[in-house]
Amino acid sequence: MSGQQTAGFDVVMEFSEKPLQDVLGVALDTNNFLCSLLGFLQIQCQDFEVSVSLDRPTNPVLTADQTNAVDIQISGGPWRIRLIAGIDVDRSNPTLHSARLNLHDRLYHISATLAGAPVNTDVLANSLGNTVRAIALPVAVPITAEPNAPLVAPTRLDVKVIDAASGPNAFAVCVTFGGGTPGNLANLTTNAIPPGGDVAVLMSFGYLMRLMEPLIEKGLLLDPGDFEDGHLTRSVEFDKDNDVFLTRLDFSLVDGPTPADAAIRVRCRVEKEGFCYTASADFGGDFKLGVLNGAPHVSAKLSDPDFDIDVPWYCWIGAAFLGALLGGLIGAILLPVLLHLVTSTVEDVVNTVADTVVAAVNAVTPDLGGVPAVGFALPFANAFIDDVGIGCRFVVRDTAPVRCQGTVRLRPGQELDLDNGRVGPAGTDGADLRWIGRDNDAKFEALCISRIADTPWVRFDEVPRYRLYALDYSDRSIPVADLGILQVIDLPFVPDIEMFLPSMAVYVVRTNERRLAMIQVTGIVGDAVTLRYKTFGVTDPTVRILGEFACPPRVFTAIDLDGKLAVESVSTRPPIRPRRDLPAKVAPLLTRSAASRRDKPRPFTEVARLEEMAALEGTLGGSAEVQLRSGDALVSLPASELLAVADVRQLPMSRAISRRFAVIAVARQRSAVFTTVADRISDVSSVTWWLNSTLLDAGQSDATIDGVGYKFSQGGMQLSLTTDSKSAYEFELRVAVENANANRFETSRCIRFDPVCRRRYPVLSDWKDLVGVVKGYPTTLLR
Amino acid sequence: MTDECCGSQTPDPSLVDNAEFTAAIDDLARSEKRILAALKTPEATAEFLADPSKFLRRLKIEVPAVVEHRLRRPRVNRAENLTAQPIVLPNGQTITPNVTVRITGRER
Repeated sequence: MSGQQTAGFDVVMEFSEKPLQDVLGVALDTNNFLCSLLGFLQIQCQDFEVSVSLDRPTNPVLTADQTNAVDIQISGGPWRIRLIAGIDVDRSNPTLHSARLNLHDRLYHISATLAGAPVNTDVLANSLGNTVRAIALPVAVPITAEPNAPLVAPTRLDVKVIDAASGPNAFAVCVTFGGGTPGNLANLTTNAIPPGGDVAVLMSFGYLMRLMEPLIEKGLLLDPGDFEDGHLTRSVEFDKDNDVFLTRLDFSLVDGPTPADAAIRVRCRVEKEGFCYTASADFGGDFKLGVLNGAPHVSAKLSDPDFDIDVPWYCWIGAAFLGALLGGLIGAILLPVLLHLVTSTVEDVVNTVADTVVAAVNAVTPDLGGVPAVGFALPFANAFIDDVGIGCRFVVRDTAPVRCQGTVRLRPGQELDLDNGRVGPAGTDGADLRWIGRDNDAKFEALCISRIADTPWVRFDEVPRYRLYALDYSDRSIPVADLGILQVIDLPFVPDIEMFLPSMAVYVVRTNERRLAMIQVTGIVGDAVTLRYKTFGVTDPTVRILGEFACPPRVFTAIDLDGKLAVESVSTRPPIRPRRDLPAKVAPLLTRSAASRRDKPRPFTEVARLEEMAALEGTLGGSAEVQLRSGDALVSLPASELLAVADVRQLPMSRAISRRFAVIAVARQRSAVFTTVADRISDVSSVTWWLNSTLLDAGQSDATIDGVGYKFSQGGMQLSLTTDSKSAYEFELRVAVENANANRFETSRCIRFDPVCRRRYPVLSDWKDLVGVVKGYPTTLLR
Repeated sequence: MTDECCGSQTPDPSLVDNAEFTAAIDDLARSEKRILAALKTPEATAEFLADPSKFLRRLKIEVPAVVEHRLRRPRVNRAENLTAQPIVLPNGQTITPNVTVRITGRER
C-alpha cells in the first residue's frame, strides 16, 4: 500500500549493499588504510577485493543486542579477513548526527586466514576498536536542536539495516525534519530501491504535505489553516474580485500495480455565481514523478475538467448575453489554478526535499580514527510515488590519484602508451595498446607485458580504483565487435537509419609500468577509433589535499518577494518550446523519407532503445559523436544533439511556462576541514601544514597571516581551519607528509574563500500570475 | 459597459428593463413547468440551447413576437458558447472539458 515505505519518518534514504561496498573499498584504498591493517597480521600489503553483505550472519550467531550488522569480507591472494560490525549513529556532536560503522562498541566478530590457516587477530581487533574506532559512512546530517526548527532543517538521524525477508537488503538512513517526529524503525522491513538503482530517497507524503501547506495557502491566496493535511478545511472565496469560491482541494496518494504507476491525485472544485448563471468546475489530475536531466519533475496526467452550468430558461432566451461564460471560466480560473498546482506545488517541494537531503548528507562528512570519510554523488535516475521516491545511482568519490587521462584517436597500426597518453606509430617505446586491422577485423591488442581485463561497467567516470585490483588480466585482444554495433533504428524524424552505438564497455589495462588504466571507446569513424583513458598511479607515492569551505544547507522551498528577505536579483526563465527543427546536418539522411518529425507512437522496443541512449547521455557526453547512416550518406552527430531531437517525451509543464527565480546571498561556512590523502606512502610519521608559506605550528591554535586571522587545529591527516576574512580571497595550502624513513612528500593547493554563497530559488507565485499564460481564452469572468 | 471579449460585466438595462419583453417572459413563464419537464434529457437541452424558438414551438407554446425578435439579434446566446473545445496546454498536452448545462426555472 502506498505511503508505508517511510515508516513514519519524514525522509528515508535506502542504500543497497553496493554503495556500502564502494565506500569501504575506497576507504580501504585511501591512506594505505588496508596496508596498515594487514601489517597487524604480518601480511604483505597487496591488491584486494571487498564484499559487503547485509544478511544477518548465522555463523557466527549474533546475540539479540548485536543489531544492524554488516558482514564484510576483504581478501587478496592467499589471505582473507572477515569483519562483522554494527552500524549506528554518532550523536556525540549535538549539531551533527553521523552514521558510522562502529568498530569501538559494535565489532561483533573478526577473523582472518592466511593460506587457509587461522591468523591471530587480537592486535588487529585492538587497533580497529581503540585506534580506528569507526569508519564514517557518508551520511552526516547537520542537526538543528531548536524546538521550532524550519521544516527543511533536520532534527534527528536514525539508521537501520534492513535484512529483507524477501528481495534485496538495504541500509536505511532516516531523517526527521522540523515539525516532525521520528517514525518506527521496526516498520522498515522492505527495500524500496527501484531496479537498476543503488539508492532511493523516499519522502513521506505527510512530510511533503507539511511543506506544501504554506505554499498552497500562499499560492492560492488562502488564509493560514485553510489547507491542512492535504485537504481544504472550508469553502473559501479565493477570488474576491470575481466572487469565485474554492470548495474542494484534495491531495491524496493513489496506488498502482507498481510504484511507477502510483501517483499523487489532486482534485479541485471551484464555484461561481453570476448574473443569470451558476457554474462549477471539477478538475485535477494524477501527478507522477519523473527525472529529466538529473532533476525530479512532475508529469501530470490531467483529467478532463467537468463543468456544470445552470442557466434559467428565460436568461438563455435573451435576458442576458452569456457569450464568453465558459471561455472565461476556463481562461480566468481553471487554467491558471491547474497550471499553478502542476508547476508550483508538488514539483517545487519534491525538488526542495531532494536538494536538501542530498546537500545535507554531503555538506559535512566527518573523518573518524584517521580514516577519511568517503564522499559520494547521487545522480537522480528515476522517481516514483509510494510515498514519494527518487531512485539514484550511487557514485562514490574516489580518492585515488589519477596519473594521466584524456581522449585520443588511433588509426590502424598506431599505438598508445597509457602511462603518459602518448600516441605513436608501431614500435613506440613503452606502448601498451595497438589498434590494428580494418572493418570487421579491427581490434585492440595488448603489447609486451601489458594485460587487458573485461569489466561489467559502462559508466567510465564512476569506477573507483579499488575495483580494478581483482580483475582477471590476460594477454588478449578486444575485437571491434565488442566495442559497439551498427544497428538500424527508427528515429523520430526518419525511419531506417543505421546508427553506430558504442557498447561503452570499460576495459582495464595493466600497463607495462604496472599501473592500472581504464579505457572506453566512444566512437569509430572510418578506421579510426576514439578512445577515453584514465590511468591510476598504483606505485607512485602521491599526496593530495581534499576539503573546501562549504555553503550551508538550504532552508527555503521558494522565495516570497515580500521584502522581508534581501534578494540579490530576480530573473525570468523563458518557457521551453518543444524542438521541432531537425539539425541541418541530418539533411543528407533525409532522401528516403519526408523531413518531418514523426509524432506517432513508436514500438516499445524502439522507445526503450532511445531511453537507453538517454541513460547513457552522461557517459557519452556532449562531445561523443554518434554515427548515423542512410544508404551512402553518413553523418556524425553529437549524442546530446541526437537525443534532443529524438526525445519526444512530453515536455514537463514546469518547463513549458516561464518561471521566476530569485538569487539570495547566504553566508558561507567559515570553517573547513582539510584532509591530506597520502597514496602509496606507508608508515606516515608526521604531517606538516603551511598557509601562504607560513608554518602552522602544531602547538598554536591561531595566527594572522597576510592580514587574515585564522584559528586552526591539527590532528592525524586533518587540518581544521577557520578564517575571519570579510572578503573573497585565495590562499595557498601546503602539506608535507613524512614516512618512517624520513622520506618527505609535498603538495600544495590554491584554496578560494568567498564569504558569500549565492543560492537560486523559485519565486513564490500565486495562481493569478498564470492568468493569460494560455493564449486565446478570456481572462475575465462574467459577473 | 460591455466587454467584447468576455460578455457583459453587468446586465444590459435595455434588456432587463424592457417592459414588453418582461411581459412576454412573464407570459412564457406560465408554461415554465412544461418547459422544464421537456428539458429532462441532454438532447432536449441541446435543442433548447440551439434554437429556443423551435423548441418552444415543438411544445406548442406560442413564442411572443418580441421574443422572436430578440432571438434574431446579433448578440443572441448561442449553443456554441457553452460547447467546450479541446484545450491545448503550454506543453502540448490536451484536455477536453465536459460541459453539462442545466436549464433551470425562474425561482433561482
